[in-house]
Amino acid sequence: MATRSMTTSSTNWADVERLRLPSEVVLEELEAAYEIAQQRCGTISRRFCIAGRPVLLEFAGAALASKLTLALEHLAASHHEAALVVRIWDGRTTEATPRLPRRPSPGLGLQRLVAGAGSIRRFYSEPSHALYCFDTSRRCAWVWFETDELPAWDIGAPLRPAFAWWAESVGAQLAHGAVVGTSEGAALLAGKGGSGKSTTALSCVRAGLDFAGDDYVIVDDAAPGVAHSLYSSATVSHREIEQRFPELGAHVVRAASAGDKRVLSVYAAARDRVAVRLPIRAVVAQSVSPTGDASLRAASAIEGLAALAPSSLLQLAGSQREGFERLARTVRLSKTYAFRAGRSTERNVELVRLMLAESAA
Amino acid sequence: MLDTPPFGTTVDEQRFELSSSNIAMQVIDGEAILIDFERGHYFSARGLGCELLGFVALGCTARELVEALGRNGFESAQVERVVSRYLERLVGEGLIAPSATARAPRENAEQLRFDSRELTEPELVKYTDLADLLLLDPIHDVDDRGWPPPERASPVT
Repeated sequence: MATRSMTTSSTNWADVERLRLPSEVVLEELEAAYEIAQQRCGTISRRFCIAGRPVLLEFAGAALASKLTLALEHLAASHHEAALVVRIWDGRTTEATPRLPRRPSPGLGLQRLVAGAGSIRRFYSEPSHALYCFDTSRRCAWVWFETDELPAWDIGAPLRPAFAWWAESVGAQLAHGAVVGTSEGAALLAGKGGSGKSTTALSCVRAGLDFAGDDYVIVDDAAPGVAHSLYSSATVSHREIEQRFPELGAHVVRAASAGDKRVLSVYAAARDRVAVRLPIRAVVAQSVSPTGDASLRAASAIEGLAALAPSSLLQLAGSQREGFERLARTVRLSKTYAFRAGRSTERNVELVRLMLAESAA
Repeated sequence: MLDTPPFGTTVDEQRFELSSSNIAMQVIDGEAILIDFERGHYFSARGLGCELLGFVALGCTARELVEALGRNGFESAQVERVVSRYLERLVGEGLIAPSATARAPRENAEQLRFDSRELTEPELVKYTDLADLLLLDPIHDVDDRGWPPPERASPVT
């Protein structure tokens, strides 16, 4: 496989049959293209400890290594074994492009799965121009990016589909929410995009609370009730940074296609505040207060689960029923609140502290 | 709506199950949440609505539900209307489907007890605010037929 030549434009874009290629074929093509990229550009290895497990990221060429590991720096490790290997390269700088269809047929939305069943999963991300493939039996993923110019979400939350598939394969689940607190207890702030999770989380960090994630954390059957940090980045709007967190402006990460959103390295800004794991004591259904005044009330467990589970599960691959159970278990072990974030960041932090104190009692 | 009404000569012995692998339900503290992973909708149910869902998922027939609620002293015609309408709603939303393979509840049907002391219209609240996630940022599990499945795929010219 490795001896054949790869081209950068071999795809017949109009061929809908490409959607139905067997997963084994996709995997073979990706493996072959990665090998060529590796021969041409060399390998950079980066090791991390994610949810207590050793993970190896191998990059063919240097173009993506720093961009895709920036949000993982806090989890850097030096072990030799690997419970997950992810092989990553880009087509532009390595000129090694898998001979595969890359786009689903027109009109299917921005992102669609190409296919995925059995032990091999695959996914094409249209906005990122990236193809993911995960072989569950080998616990190995291949990720090809068309270019090394990455959008903000790929820098802020890199390799998310690969981590989601792997997490599922080891009895864990990515949970969509921010986690802030202390080693005694933390709040998992859940809610759909625009509910103020990131702003609240950054306000809490500034006030001295620890941070385990802004958008995604991992919950794990092996340690129920614990949030494992995945990314030490935060994604907030340009305006929020200017108006509320000007001191963080120096930690904005350069990214392509960022729109209004900016990726911040929380690890660079407040290294001591970034925690590898925190015990979840409160699950919080967060929204933005329509009046601008923050408010807090006890909520039913189902309110908490409704804020956490649909947005976690609808965005991520995996066995959704099992993932649902994992998230429900997390909620059952916690107190649940409904929190409306207000304009005053100080008041928002006060209410988060109140939740932490109550839920620890 | 059901193709055939849930009550009649045959359907009142019908058992149901969650419609497919695209539907999942969790019940905590007397409240239920169901997620429809296919459409991106989710639902919540409390009180009688949650209890009925739980018993349906256990494999109770419509008749068993009516009889169990009747033991709480409610008027039977009204109970039939309430249960029938609710089952129709659940089927209509694609949450449950008649099943020939669903097992009867382990517990004897005559021992089933509802906690609800009032016969009000069961609650089922539908949320569609996250359905856009399926258009914007979905990662589905599908088989090697691809996505969308051939029967739903638009013709390609």
